[in-house]
Amino acid sequence: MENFNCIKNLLTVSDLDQLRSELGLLKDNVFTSKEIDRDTIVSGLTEDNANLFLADLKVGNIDLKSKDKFISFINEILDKLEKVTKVSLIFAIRPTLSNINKIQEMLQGEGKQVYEYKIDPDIYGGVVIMKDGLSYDYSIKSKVEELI
Amino acid sequence: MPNISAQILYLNIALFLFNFAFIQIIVRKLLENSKLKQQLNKNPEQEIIKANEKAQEIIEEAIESASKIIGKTSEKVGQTDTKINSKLTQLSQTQFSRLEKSTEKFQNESDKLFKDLSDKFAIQLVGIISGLKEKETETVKLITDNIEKQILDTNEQMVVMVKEDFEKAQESINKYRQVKEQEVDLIASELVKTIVKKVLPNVLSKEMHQELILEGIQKAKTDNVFL
Repeated sequence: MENFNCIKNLLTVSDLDQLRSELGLLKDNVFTSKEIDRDTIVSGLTEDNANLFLADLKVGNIDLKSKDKFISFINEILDKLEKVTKVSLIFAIRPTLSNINKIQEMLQGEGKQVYEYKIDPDIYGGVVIMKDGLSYDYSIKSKVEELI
Repeated sequence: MPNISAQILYLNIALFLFNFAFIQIIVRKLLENSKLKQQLNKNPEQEIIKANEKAQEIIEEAIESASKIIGKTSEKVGQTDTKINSKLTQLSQTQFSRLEKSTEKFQNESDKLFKDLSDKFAIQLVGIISGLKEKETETVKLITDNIEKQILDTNEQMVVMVKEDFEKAQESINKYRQVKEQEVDLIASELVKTIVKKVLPNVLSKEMHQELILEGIQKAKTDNVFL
């Protein structure tokens, strides 16, 4: 399965970290429990993640009676999570909620990647983007330095 | 007074004469003894008395002869001393006069030799001095030429050195200027940054910040940063 719903809806790095953590715990619970049922899944995940994960199970046609298949399904999701690109957006001030929504809208369709937001007043304004170990500077500070 | 060697000579002569007289007496006495032995056989007492008397006579005679000989010898010695003294005096006078002459001659020759040598040396000295004067003139000229050449060389070297020093100084000034310019640039940029940092937050409104953020994201999107 190429696209998991639970991954497709991830927006931020913290969302990704939370899903990874929840799936890890679920895997541990499955090891120790005799049977896998819906309650086991729902109790280990947040509501949104649980719904999306159940949808993925359905799409993947995963039989809950087969513990091995279930665990390998979780492992597959975890592997995919590791490959999701993390992008850091650094601002001089905290962006407004409406601005975050605007940003998310702008970034839709740019490939699967999750974002984290950081604040650094030293960039004066604008944004600095960190991706795959590289820095893309669109800050006022770099513009001022160019002028100097 | 005769000298000691003369006295010893005379004494030896006297002893020789005395010995000679004494030997004659002994020979004579031996001859008489042989005669006495012959006579003793005839009349021993008278012969002994006669022999004693004869012996006494011989002794007295010998003493007398010896005295005469000694007297003659002393006289002879005295004469000889006088002769020797006069001869010695004469000899010493002769030798003294010869010595005086020799000394005078030597003095004259020495004076002459000294004068000759002095003249020769004076001539040589004059020659040496005149040579030295000529050489001195040449040397002075040489030294003057050398000094002039050295001054010219030194001037040229000085010009080169001054030029090199000037270039070095200029280079060092340029380097110093560059360093200072960099320092000034750094200070200026730091100053500008400080001013910007202090001024911009007050100048930029929240709306402007949000706009700048969206503008940056859009630019990144255009640059394909998110692909």
